[in-house]
Amino acid sequence: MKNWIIFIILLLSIFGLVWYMFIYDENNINYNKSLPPKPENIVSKINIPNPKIITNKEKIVSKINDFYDIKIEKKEKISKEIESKENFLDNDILKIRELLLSNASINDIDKVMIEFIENSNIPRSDKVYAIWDLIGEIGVENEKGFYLLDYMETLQPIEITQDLIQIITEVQPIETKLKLMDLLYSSTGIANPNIQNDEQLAFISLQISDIQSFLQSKIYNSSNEELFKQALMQYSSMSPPQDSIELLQDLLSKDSKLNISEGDIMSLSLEIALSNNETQLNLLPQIISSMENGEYSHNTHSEFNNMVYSALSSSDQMGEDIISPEAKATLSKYIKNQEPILQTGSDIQIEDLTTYYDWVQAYTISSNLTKKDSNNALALTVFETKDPIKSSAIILLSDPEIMQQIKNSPSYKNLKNSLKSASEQDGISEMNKQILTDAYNELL
Amino acid sequence: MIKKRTFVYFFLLSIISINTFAASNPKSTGDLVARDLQIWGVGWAGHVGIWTGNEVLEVLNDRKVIHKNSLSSFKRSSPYWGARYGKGASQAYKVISWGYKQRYYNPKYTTTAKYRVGGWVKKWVWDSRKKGWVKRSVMQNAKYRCDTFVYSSFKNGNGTQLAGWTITPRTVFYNMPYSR
Repeated sequence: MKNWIIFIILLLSIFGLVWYMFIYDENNINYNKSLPPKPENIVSKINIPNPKIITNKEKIVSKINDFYDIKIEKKEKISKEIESKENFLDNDILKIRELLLSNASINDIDKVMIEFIENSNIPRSDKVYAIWDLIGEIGVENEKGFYLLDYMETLQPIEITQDLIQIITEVQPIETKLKLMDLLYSSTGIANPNIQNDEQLAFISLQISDIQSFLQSKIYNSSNEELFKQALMQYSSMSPPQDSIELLQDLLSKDSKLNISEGDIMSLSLEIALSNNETQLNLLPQIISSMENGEYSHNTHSEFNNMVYSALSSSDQMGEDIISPEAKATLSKYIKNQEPILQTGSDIQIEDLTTYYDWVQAYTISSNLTKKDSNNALALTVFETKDPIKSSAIILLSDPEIMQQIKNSPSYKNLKNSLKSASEQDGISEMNKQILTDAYNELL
Repeated sequence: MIKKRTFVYFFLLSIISINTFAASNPKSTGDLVARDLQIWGVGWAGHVGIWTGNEVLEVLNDRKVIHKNSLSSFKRSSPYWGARYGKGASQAYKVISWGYKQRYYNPKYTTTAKYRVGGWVKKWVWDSRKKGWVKRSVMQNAKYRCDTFVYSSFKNGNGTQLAGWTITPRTVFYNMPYSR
């Protein structure tokens, strides 16, 4: 049927082409018609009074008190030190601006933007001020402004904290406030006492204190649920665990018009509980106990498990595990009783396989086994479980080393046969059959 | 009298129709599907997603960000490009699983090509009472555009590289060598 439709359309197209080439008389075209209206210029859409000026300060200066001062300080410093770098910077930002104001493809702009962000010849601070300048011209209440704000996030611009706080207060659309708050929060990640000097750290700590106060004011005074939730999550993630606990307790003790959902309470509590070794020992058992006592809904319980499993298999930038060996021991007892139920009678989805695999993996990790023993345990589970779908989950989601161990096992052929016969059973759903067949094929 | 414009419309419509009918469906888990998508009026950048075996895993510009949608709704949204395959087919389930788990990290949408993998990280925070810095673990939000999500899922899921230096929906889609 589909082929027939394609054939008829092709035939019509060829007929149309022949008609156009041999029959259609171009001289009959009526030229006395009015021209279509010109497409609206993109420059006028984003309301830029003079596109030739690189830095149109008026718009942003009206919103930010010291924006101009910062820029002057920066420019003077650069021109005294390395004048060529300033030209480099200006050329790059000019190019970005030109592309943004034209109808250039997003791919072309991405390319230039990434080159600029990653250009090691231009100091990070200079990039921050240059993009901030451009944002001042483009505005923050449009998609191109959002685009620049997103790139700015990668620079963690702590230098513009005060400007951001002021703009967030002044802009009206919630979407824009949330976007700017994301940028503000991103800048808190720049602190690194191992690298930065005392002067820099003093400056950063001052800005961070201001961000904390600002977010607190949003938490207590905002009437918008999204704004409240984002401020709460961000405040909690940028503060010491004790401050986060106190804030959460205070909010829960008050009759607020903005309720914190059960899922958010769990998510915040778990993040606080996983903060460090101390909180993992003191707070984590309390949350686990609440879960075991059925104080949370099924969905929140599942979300909690997913977050715990992901944290168990995570390590920080230095390769240190997020969860300490002591906390793993506590979790091990809990995880043992959390085996997910796979409804093999109905269609199994990949996330069901993922949930099962993550549970098995989390259990082996929480047992504080060595990597080799952990792999052995996972490989052994494939053979021990009597459910071919569970075996398939491990086969389809395991690392190559585990797969090799499975293939080296003396029970390997039996496993293959059991998967094949399970996939050929009468009445099995298409999706389950596909999963079993794919697992079988991985073993070949 | 048929005007030239009518003819052009007729011809373009025929070509689009042929494209839509001829563009094939995905067959295996880990196939890529793509369609048109305009990103803030600077051109038809395209949109790409991963076939899970019965749905399309994709990133959309909304609050939820990471979605699983039916193929018919994916195809209905804008002109469909088709399905491609041929890279990372082995262990494709790991790609889907990895991508889907990014939902745990409160994902956000970005129009930029810079993405952020969600996960647990350690961060220095300022303790204003003790006047000192303390290190703690926090959950880092994931941040994606449709193509960077597909790229990152393949890269972290099973180690397949679907783009070089620049990531675009088109480069990611056509990095799969064969059309279905």
